[in-house]
Amino acid sequence: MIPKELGKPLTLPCQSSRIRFGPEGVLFAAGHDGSVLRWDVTGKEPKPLPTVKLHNGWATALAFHPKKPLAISADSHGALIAWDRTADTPTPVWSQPKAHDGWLRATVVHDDRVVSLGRDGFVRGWNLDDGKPLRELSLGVDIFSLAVAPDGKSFVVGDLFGNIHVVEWDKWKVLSKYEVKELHLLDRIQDVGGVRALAFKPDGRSLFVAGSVPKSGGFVQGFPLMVELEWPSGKRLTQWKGAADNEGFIHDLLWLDEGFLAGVTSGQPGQGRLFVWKPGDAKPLFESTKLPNCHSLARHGKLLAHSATNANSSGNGKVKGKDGDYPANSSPIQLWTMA
Amino acid sequence: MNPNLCTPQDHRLSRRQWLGATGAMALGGLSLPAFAEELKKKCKQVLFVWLDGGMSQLESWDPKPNTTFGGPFRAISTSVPGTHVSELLPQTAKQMHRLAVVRSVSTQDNSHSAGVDRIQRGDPKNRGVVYPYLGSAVANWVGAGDSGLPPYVWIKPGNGGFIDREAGFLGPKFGALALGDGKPPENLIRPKELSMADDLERNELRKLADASYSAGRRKENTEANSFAFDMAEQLQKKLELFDISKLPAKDTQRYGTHDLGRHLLLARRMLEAGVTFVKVTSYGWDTHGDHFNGAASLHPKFDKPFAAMIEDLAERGMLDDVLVIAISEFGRTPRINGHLGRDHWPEAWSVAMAGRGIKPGVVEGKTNALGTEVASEPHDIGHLFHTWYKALGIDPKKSKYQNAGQPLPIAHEDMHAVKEVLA
Amino acid sequence: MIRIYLVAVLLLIGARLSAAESVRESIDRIVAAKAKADGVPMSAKADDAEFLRRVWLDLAGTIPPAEVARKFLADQSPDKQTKLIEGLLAAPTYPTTMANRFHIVLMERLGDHASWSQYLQTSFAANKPWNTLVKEILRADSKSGAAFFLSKRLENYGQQAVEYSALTRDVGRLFLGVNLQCAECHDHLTVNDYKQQHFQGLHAFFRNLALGAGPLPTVAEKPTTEKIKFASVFTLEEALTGPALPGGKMIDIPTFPKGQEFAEPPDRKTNNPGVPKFSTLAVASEELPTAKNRAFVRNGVNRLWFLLLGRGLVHPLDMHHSGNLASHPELLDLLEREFVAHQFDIKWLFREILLSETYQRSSLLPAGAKTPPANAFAVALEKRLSAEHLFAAITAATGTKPADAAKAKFLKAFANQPREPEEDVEVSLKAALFLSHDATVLEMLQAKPGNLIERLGKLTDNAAFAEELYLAVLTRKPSADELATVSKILTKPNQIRETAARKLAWALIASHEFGVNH
Repeated sequence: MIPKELGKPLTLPCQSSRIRFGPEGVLFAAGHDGSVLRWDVTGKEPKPLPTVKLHNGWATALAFHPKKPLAISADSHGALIAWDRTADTPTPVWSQPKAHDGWLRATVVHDDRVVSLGRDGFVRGWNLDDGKPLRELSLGVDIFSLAVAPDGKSFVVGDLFGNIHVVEWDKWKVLSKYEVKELHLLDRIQDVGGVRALAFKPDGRSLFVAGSVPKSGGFVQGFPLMVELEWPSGKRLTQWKGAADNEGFIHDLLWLDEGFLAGVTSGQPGQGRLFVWKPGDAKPLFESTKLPNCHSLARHGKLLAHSATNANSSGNGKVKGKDGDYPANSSPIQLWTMA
Repeated sequence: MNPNLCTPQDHRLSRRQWLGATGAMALGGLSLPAFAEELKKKCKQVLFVWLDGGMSQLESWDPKPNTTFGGPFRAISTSVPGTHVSELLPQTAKQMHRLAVVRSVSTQDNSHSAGVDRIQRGDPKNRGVVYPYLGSAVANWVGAGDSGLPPYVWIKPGNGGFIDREAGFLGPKFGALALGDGKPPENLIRPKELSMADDLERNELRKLADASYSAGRRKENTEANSFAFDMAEQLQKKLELFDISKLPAKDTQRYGTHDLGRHLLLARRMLEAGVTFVKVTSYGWDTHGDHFNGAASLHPKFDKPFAAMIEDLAERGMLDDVLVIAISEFGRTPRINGHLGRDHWPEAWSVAMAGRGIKPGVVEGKTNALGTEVASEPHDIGHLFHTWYKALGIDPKKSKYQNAGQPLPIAHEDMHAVKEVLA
Repeated sequence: MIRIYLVAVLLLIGARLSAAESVRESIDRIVAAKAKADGVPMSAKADDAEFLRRVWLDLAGTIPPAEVARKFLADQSPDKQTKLIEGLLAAPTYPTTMANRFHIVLMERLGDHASWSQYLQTSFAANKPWNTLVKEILRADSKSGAAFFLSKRLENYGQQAVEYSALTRDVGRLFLGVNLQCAECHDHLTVNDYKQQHFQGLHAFFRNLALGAGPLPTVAEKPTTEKIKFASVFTLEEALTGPALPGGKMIDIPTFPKGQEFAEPPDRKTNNPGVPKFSTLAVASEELPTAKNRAFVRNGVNRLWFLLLGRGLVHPLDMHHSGNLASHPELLDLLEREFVAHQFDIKWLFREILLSETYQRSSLLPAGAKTPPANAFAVALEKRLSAEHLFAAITAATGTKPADAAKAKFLKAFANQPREPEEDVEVSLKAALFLSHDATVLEMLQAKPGNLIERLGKLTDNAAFAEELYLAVLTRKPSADELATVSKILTKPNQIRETAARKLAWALIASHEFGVNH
């Protein structure tokens, strides 16, 4: 399962910490300038599509319905918007500007329902077609990640303290809570860590939980950690922990059907990699450090893509660009094929 | 206060002594302002909140949502119409009518190691001497008051003890009494096996021994030694000050049970007791990585107790006496790095203040739309020192240190107070 | 060339002088002459008790038992003081005490290691000359333990880089008497003699060092192949430097073909860091601690002088420069010459100082006079006692067996933070509270078989009680007033002698007189 680089990295006008493929093979990137950028990567060369400008703050999350041409996107000011992903200049089909009070961190689409969660500690469910609110659950803590179980009967929410809350799909009753306490540290007054990524094995037998084992807050020293929990019992199975404490967080994770997990990490300057790992192995089967500081990855068929931030991104010392300007950083996106 | 605890030696520790007017203590500087007597009459205090590592101005006092460098958070309105702060400071937003914020701060040093010293010393022109930190300086100018406590108390996580290095050329007496984790110094509480009567008696004998030794000998070290024991004695009488568990539950709830919350609550107690200068330090603000989640966790933990403090000081009428300052060694870069963090930024940042001598509800200066430059008259830390001395009623033009016969300015002589934030 | 010629001439003059006047006589002559010229009155000689205590603390790192004190005070022989000095110099407590005092000076509480303390111990037992000591420290051979000075400073913590600047600074301060801290990025702003070149040249000796692997302190050296480029942040003019001592000649950096830089190649299996053919450490150890390096010699004598007198001839100890001259320039020059002439013999220099009147002066001020400046050496100055020596003195005074746990507590209460030199007597709230309330201290004042409190509790005669108390704790006899005070306490109604003993003993131990070396 060794990915091979496919062409040069795509360049973006801003940073992006979430990329996802739509069902048609269009690559979407949620940008820190509030835009959603798109490329059609089905042809020989990636073809940029018109940028979608619907959001305030950072565009933070993306979800798609497999059949209906809807894209759901979210932002850090709390808005949740549905739009036609096939349109050139989409306008909102529906919009919930205050879906959450502030940073909306994750969203998924399942069974004609959209689920969203955010820093306000709420998980909310919305009607896919018209955006009407359907469900609400208050967890009272900062929540980061969301995944629906393959059998569709429940979903899981990962919070700042390393807890995974299991919620039943229909009425949203909280079923249980699993703990991966290593994913959180109270360092002085800072709560560091969180369950940053969740990925189910498609056969529904286990759930992968990922983040960092923080050693300290501030600039954050921590070992990347991924733990496999048996599903639905929550019993711990395998785990993988990064070797050095400057490797930081696993930010994103997905399952490659062939029996492997792919993920991305980012830590101290220049530390970050794309990895492919078979659960139970001691070391990843593949790692690429070509792009430092990785944020997100996505998959479509044999295509893999991952986003990072450009090298030399540190701002100490008022680094100036070639023209004497004060440049912003951006996120190159590298495409890969898995033969 | 239990009157039985008062013994004649309590009154020995007068203001004169703390001011070092005896003159023998100083290895370096002793100040003799002409109007010191005048100053001592009015109550002057300072609360200095030090957020170590560099709090981001973009996620606090000077938010710029929906700009290239603005980050994910929103700006919220405050109790001052037209003034906004970051959504991460919701409680403080309600107190903005009591605060003054300078958004045009621009300083010289982007390193922690030198930057912390330079900011807290006011970064005067280099004179080849080690200037005192603001706390030691104010302890020197204002003295200890009637609190019976040292003039400079530092509440911090980690270790405590008497930290004389901050006093610079003023000499060790103007150092800070650091309370590690807000706890009283180790060994402060007299053990049960030792009765108070015995303790008093043996200390009388010790003083007798010291008096006869020092008769006919050089005095400086004996005086320092007595000073330490006297301080120990005074502190033992103030034990109840350290016990914040005795405070009403609503205080603990409003300030929070985290370190900074507890320490600010203790700081309020110290200020109520009349301590001249209380510094509260919070560490861990250097969020080079995962900054936005870091700020989401850190800023509210400052916001809650800081707002409670402002409210409480106002309620008690103490904002007339206490100058409040909230500051770091620099701000954080607009540019967001690869670990989604912000780096060091002395170029354009913000400092907040309130209380004695400060005009409330004011924002002075601004940065440009992107936050990459100060877009009005820039203010260095020297300007702020001038401002704070003025707010305390100390005229930087008239008051000078006397360091081994050499007069030294108390703040950078080429700079001036920011009059827009002075009442 | 001229420098060597001058040194030779000075040595000749020195040799001729020493036939006429001993060094101790020179010390006294010069100090007295300056005091007279400045109109500064001098104190009388210290009495037997003050002398006894001072010498014991300086050379044995503790106070004498009451019995020893009693005997010495009663001894009528005219040369008892000289005998005492000789005895303590020859005793096994000398190397232990000097190992501790030099450890504090050289390591500044950065840390300790068994092989390092062993190294210091054997060095002082053999009276190793100062130049050899510094040479071995700079050569940093891991088998000797001397490498610890450098290896400790090559450690790094977490993400932080190794502090090469601090290491360079320490070498300058401790071995050359110059604090080049503010000369790293530009010429020193206030000391004209300290140039950026001085810092950078010194830095060039040490910047290719790294902490070596292995259980013993080990220093690894990477080959130095090029000069350092540096520029003043003010002038921005670039300069290049190879290894160079401050004010000294720049050492040429030889070039070797790639792969041939090592005389002894590194071997990971044996933790051998390897020895480069051109070793800057080897050069430093050869060039720095030499007679022709005046800064080295003068710093050496100044620091040795400080250990016994409580203040350097040049003060602060790391600020030798033309704007901060010695208080007695002729004396510093003389000691510099004589130290070289006596092959850097530390014990010899100590002996000369110890036998001088200047060392043996009382700390009591001359009657009626205003306080003389400290640098006149007209009055004995108080010297700080290290945490270890204070502990030794308190355990000796109270008759307690010294235990490691207790010693550790004393270190915590009295030792400075790392890199804060323990040169001055310092205010300490922590120490005051420790002495007042710490369980360990209070424990020492409980009566136990054979200890001070038990002994005192048994003495029914008040005078005998007072004498035993003062001799054991303060190494002197009580004055009439003091006897009266003791008697008053003892004769209070219902006074248990043991309780009285505890209070009185504590008062003396917590007193300033006990806590310093005067």
